[in-house]
Amino acid sequence: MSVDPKQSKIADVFERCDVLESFPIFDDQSEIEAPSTTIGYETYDSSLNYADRGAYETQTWSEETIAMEKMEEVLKMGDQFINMVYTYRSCSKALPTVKTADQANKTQIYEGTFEVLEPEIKKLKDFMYFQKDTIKLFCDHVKKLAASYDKKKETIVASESFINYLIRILDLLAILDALKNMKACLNNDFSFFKRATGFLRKQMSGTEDQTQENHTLYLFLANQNSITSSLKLELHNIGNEVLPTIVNQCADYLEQDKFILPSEKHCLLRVMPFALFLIDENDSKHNINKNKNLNISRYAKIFKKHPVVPLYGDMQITLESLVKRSPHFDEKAWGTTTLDSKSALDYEIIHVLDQTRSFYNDYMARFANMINEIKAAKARGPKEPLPISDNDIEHITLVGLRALSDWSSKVLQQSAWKYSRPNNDPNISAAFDYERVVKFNYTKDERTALVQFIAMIKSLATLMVKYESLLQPILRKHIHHEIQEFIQVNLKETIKSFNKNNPKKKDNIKLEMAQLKNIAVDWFNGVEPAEAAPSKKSKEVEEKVQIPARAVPPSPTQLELISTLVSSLMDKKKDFSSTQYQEFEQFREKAFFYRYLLNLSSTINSITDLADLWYREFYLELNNRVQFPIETSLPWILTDHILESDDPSLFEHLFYPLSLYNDTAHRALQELNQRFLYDEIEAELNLCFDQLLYKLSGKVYTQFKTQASSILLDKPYKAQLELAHFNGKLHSPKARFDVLLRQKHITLLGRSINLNGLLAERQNTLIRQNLDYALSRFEASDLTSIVELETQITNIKLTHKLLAEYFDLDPFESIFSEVNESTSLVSYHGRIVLHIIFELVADFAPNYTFNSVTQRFIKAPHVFTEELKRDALPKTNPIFLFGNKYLNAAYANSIELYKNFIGVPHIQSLLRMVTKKNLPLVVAEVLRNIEIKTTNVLSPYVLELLQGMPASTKLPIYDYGTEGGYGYFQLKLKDIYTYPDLRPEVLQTFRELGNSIVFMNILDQVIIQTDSYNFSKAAPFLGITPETWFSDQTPGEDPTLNSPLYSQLQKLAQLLEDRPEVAKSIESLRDIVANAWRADKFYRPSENNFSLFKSFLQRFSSILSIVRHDWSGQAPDNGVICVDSSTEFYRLWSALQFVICWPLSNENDKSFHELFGDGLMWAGCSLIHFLGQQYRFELFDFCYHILNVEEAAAVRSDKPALKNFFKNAQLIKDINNQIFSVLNTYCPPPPPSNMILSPPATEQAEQFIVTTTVEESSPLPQSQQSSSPPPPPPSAVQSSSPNSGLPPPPPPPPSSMDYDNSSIDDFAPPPPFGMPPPPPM
Amino acid sequence: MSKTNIQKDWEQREFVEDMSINIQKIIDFLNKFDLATKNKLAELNEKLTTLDRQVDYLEASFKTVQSE
Repeated sequence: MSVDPKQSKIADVFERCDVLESFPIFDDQSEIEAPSTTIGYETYDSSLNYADRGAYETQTWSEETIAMEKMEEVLKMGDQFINMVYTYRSCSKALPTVKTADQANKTQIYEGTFEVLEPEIKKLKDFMYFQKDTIKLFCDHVKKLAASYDKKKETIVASESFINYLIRILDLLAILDALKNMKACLNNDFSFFKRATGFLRKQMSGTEDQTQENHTLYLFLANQNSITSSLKLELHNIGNEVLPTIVNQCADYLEQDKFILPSEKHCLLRVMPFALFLIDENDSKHNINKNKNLNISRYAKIFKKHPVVPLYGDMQITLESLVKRSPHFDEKAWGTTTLDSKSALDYEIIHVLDQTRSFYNDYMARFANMINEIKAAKARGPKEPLPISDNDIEHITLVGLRALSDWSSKVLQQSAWKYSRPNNDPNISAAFDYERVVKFNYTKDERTALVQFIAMIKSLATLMVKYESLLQPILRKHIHHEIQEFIQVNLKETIKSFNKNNPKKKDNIKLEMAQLKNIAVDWFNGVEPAEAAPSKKSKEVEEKVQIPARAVPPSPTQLELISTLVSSLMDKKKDFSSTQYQEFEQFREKAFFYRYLLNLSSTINSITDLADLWYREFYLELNNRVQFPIETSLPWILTDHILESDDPSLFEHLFYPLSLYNDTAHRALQELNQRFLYDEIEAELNLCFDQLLYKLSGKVYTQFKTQASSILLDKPYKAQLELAHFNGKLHSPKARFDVLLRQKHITLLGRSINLNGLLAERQNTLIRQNLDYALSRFEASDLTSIVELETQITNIKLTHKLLAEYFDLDPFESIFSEVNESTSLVSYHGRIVLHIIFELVADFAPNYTFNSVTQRFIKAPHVFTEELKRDALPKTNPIFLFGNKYLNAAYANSIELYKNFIGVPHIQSLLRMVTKKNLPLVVAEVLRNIEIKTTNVLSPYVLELLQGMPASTKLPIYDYGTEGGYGYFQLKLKDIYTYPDLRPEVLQTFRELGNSIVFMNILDQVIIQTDSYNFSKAAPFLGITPETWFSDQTPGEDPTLNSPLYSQLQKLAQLLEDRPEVAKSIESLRDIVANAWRADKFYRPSENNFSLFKSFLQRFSSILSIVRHDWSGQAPDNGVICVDSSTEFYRLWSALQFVICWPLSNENDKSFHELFGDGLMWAGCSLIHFLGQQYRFELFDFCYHILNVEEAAAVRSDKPALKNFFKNAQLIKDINNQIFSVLNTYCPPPPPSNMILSPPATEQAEQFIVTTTVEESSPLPQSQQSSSPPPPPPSAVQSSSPNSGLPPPPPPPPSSMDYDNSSIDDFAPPPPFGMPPPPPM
Repeated sequence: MSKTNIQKDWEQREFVEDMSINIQKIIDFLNKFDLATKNKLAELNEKLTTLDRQVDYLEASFKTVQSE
C-alpha cells in the first residue's frame, strides 16, 4: 500500500493525541461533585431533524418522516410555550391601579399598562394560536391514520416512532393545559390589559379585530381545561382506532422498560390516562370499558403502581383522577385504589436505599474494573484485544444508564409524591404551603436517603462521563458491527430464503427488505460481494462474511429508518419463520438503545438533571410570593442537613446537593431562557454558600479543637472520666474531613471555587478570635486564671498545628503576637503581660494572704481596697473553650483546682506565659509599686506612728510575769491598736510589700527549677556529666570546643566538606556549625550564679535608702544603743507585732493573721533586715520578751487570752526566724563591723573592742560612733557626745553619702550593681 | 460495481469519526489539565496570600521601630 503523505500526516497527529492521554497530570483531590467540565464536546449530533433523509431511499416512509420533522418542530416550540407559561410571573401585581374615575394621571397609567402588558399578551395570543394549530395538526394525523385502519388485521399503518411523536404531542397538550389552569396570573394580567385597552379604545379606532381576538383569548384563558376540551371536541368521531393504539404503545413501552430518560417514562405515564380520557365520551360508542382494543385492567395495574407522576417542575398529577373524570369510569372494572401507605413504600426512596446502595457498590466496582482492563489493554498496545468483549462493555454501560435513570426517576417521583402529600400537621407553624410539602415533609432519615441517592446518581454520572472518550470508540465499533452483522448475515439470509419461498409474490416485502439492506449496509471492500453459487459450500462461505471494523455510528435518521423498516417487517409476522422474526425482534430491542449509547454524555446529563427539585413556580403562584427563603429550598435543606448531622460519612456528599443549583441554573439559562430565574438562583446560591462556609469552617474548627483538647487532656484523668461519666464522649470523633479539605476547585454555577483556600482564610480568623477570646477571658478574671489561659493557649497552639496539616495558615507566633498586641519590636507590652502586672499590683499584692506552710496565697476574707473593675467576661462560646461540652466539663474540673489560690503552679504558668523576654518588665513594675508604696504611704504613716509611740518602751522586768508584761504593753499600745488607719492603710501596705517580696521569692524558685530542667535536658549535648562537672577546667580553653553537639557537627561538616561530590552546599554546612556553636553558648550554664531574688533584694534595699534615714531613728542617747525608747523602725514593728498578736475580743472577728497573712511578717522582717536592725529587734521585741518570760516562768499562765496571745506570738516568732534565715541566705548582713569605742579623749591609750552584734552592756557613758575601719575623726566623736539636758543633735541631712555613717551598726551599703538586671539569659 | 452513495458515506464518516474521537481526546486532556492547573494555582495563591499577610505583619512590626 502506498503511503499517502496526507494520510501519514494525519496518523502522526493521531499519535500525538494518544500521547496526550498518557501525559501525567495529577489533580490532588478526589471527586466529590457532579460532573463538571470546562470544555464540553458532543461527539454525536443526536438531534433528529431528518436533514439527511433524502440520502436514504425509502418509499413508504418518506411521507411519515416529513410529518415527523414537522412534529419535531412543533414539540420544540411547545417546549418554549411550556417554559413561557411555567415561568410566567404576573406583571399586573407591580402595576399601579387607577383608583378613582377622575384621577388625573388616568390616561398615563392606562397607556403605561398597555405598553407593559402588550408584549406579554402577545405571547399569550401566540400561545393560544399555537395550541389551536397543534390540536389541528394532531387531529389531522389521527384522521389520516384512521383512514389507513385495516379492519381485518386491526392495525394501522404507522411506525412506532410516529406514534411516539403523537404521544409526545399529547403530552405537550396535557402539560400546557395543566400549566394554564395553574397560572391564575395569566388571567389577571389579561384583565388588566383589557381594562387598559377598553379605556384606550375610545381614542383609537379600527380595533374591531382586536376585540374579537381578545374575547377569544379571554375565553381561552378563563375556561379551565380549555385545551383538553377543544381537543376532545375535535377528536370526536375520529381516531376511535388510533388513540387505543397510542395507549397500548405506552403500556407496551412501560412494561418492556423501553425508555431511558426519566422524562420519557413520565411522559408515557402521563399520556395514558389523558388518552383514555379523550376516548371516553358521553355516548355508548365511546366507552373505554367496552372498547375491545383497550384492556382496562392492564392500565389499572400500571396506574396503581404509579399513582402520582411528576408533571412539570413542582407540579404533579394523580393518574387515576383523570380516568375517574371519564363518564364511563367503572369502579368495579378499575378495581380499588391502592392504599397510600402501600404506595408510599414504592415512592419513598428510603425503603430501597440499602439495596440501591449495594447495587451501586457492585456496579461501581464492575465499571471501574472494566475501565481498568480497557486501559491496561490499551497500554499493552493499540492492537491488543480487549479482555472483555465489546458486547459486555455495551451491556455494562447500558446497565449503568438504566440504573441512573431508575434512581433519578425515583428521586423525582418521590418529590412528586411529597408534593401530593403535604404535611398537614396543624402543630407546624408553616408560613406557606411550600414549607408543608418540602421543608416539613422530609424526615431526617429521608433527607439522609435523598442525599445518598443524589450522591450516587451524581458520582456514577461523573465516572461515566469521565470515561466517555475511552468507551465511545468501542461502543461505536460494536454498534456498527451489530448492525452490519444483522444486515449482512441475518437479513441476507432471510432475503434469500424469502425469495426462495415466495418467488413471485409479496414484492412489497421484498422491496422493504432490499431498502433496509441498502440504507444500512457497509460492505467490506466497498461493494457487495458477488453472490456465491448456491453450492453446498455456501454456508461455510457465508460464515466468513467479513465486516469492516469501523467505529462509525449510523446517523440518527439512518438509525430511525432502520428500526422503522425492521418493525414494519415485523408487522408482517406471518410471512416469516419464527427464527427470522426473533432475529428481527432482537435487533429492534438492541437498536432502540443505540441512540442513548451513542451520545453518552448528553444522555447522562439529561438523566441526572434533578433541577425539578428546586423549581417552585407553581407554589410561588399558589402562595402569591415572589420567592421563598432559602430555608425552604430543598438543595439547601439537604446541604444543611449534612452540616448538622453527626454522620461523618455524609460529609463527603456535601457538594452533591449543591450541584442541584448547577442543574437549575443550567435549565434556567439553556432551556427556560429566563434571566430572572438565573439571578434568583445565583443569589440563593451565594447565600447558601456563605452559610455553608460559615457553618463548615465552624465545624472544621470545632473538630480540630476537640481533637486537640482530647490529645492534651491528662490521660489517666481522661480514662477515669470516660469510665465514670462520659462514655466515649471525650474521644474526638473521627470526622472525615480529609477529602473535603483537599478540595481546591469546586465548580458552582461555572465558577471554580477554592474551598481549601476559603476555609483556610476562615480558620486563620477563627484562631485569632479564639486567642482573643482566651485573652479576654483572662483579662476579665484574676491572676488565678493564668493556668486556664496557659491551658487554652497550649490547646489553640495544638489546634493550629493540626489545622496546618491541611491549610496554609499564618505562623502561630505571629498570630499570637498580633492578638496579644505585642507586635512592636521595641516594646514588650503585650496584653497578657499588662494584665498580669495589673493583677499583681492591683489585686494580688493588696488582696491576697500568704501562707508560709503551704507556700500559697489565698484571697483575703476581707479586702481593704475598692473592688476592681475588670472587663466583662466575653460571652461563653463552648467551641472556643475546648470544643464541646464534655471536654469543657472535663477541663473546667481540672482548672477549678487552681481557681482558689495562687501558688507555684500559677507562677510557673506565669513564667511560661510572660516568657523571659517580658519578665524584666514584670519585676520592674513590682519594684516600682514597692517604691511608690514605701515613699507615698509607708513613709508618712511610719513617721506618724513613731511619734505616737509611747515615750518609753522599756521592757518590763521579769518579776512582773507574763501577765504583767502583757498588760503593760496592752496599756501602752492601746493608742496604736485603736489607730483608725492601722488596718486599712498601714498593715495593708506592709502586706502589699510582703506579698511582692514573697512573689519574687517563689518566682525565683520557679526560674531555678525551669533552668535546671532545661539544663538537664541540654547537658548531654553540652558534654556535661556528673564526672566532668566537678573536674577542673583547663583555664582559658573554651568548653564549647569539646561539647558533643558542636564537635560532632564540626567533624561531620569537615567530613562532608572533604568530599565535594556528596556535599551540595558547603555554605549551609558552615551555617549549621555556627548555629551549633551558638546553641551551645546559649544553653551552657553561666559561671555566675544569677538569682533573681538576690538582685531583687538588692534593689529593694536601695529603695529603702529613701526612708533609711527616717526609720533609723535618732542616735542613741548613750551613743551605743537605745534601751528605753527608740525611734528606730524595729521598735515600731514590735508594737505592730504585739498588736497583731492581740487576741480577738469577738469570736467572729478575723484575726490579723487571717486578714493579712504571712506577707506582713515578710515585709516587717525584710525592712528590719535591710535597715540592719535584726538583732536589736530580736532583743527588744515585746512579744519575744513576753515569750521569754513565759518560758522562764515556773508557772504557765492559763488565761485564755494569754494562751491565744502565746500561740500567735510563737507562730510569728517562728515565721520571723524563717524569714530572717532566708534573707540572710540571699543577702547576708555584712560581717559584724567592729566598733571602736574609745575612752574619753583624754585617755586615748585604752581601746577595747566590742562586737556590735553582741548584746551591748557597756556602761560607758560615752561612745563613739563609727561604722567602718577608718577611724572616725575626732570631731565627729565630739559632736556626737551627749550634752546633758539637751536633746540629741539632729541627724545629719539624709544625703546619700551620709546615711551609711548615720547608725552604729549599719548594714553595709548594697554591693555595686555589677550584675546585669534579671533575667540573665 | 461502483460504490453506492451510502457506502461512500460510511467511509467518509469514518474519517469524521476519527477526527471527532481525537478532538475528544484533546478536550479530555485540556479538561484534565485545567483541573490540575487550578489545583496548582490555588496552592500557589494560598502561599502568596500567606506571604502577603506575613509581609503585612512584618511591616507593622517595623513601623513601630521607625515611629520611635
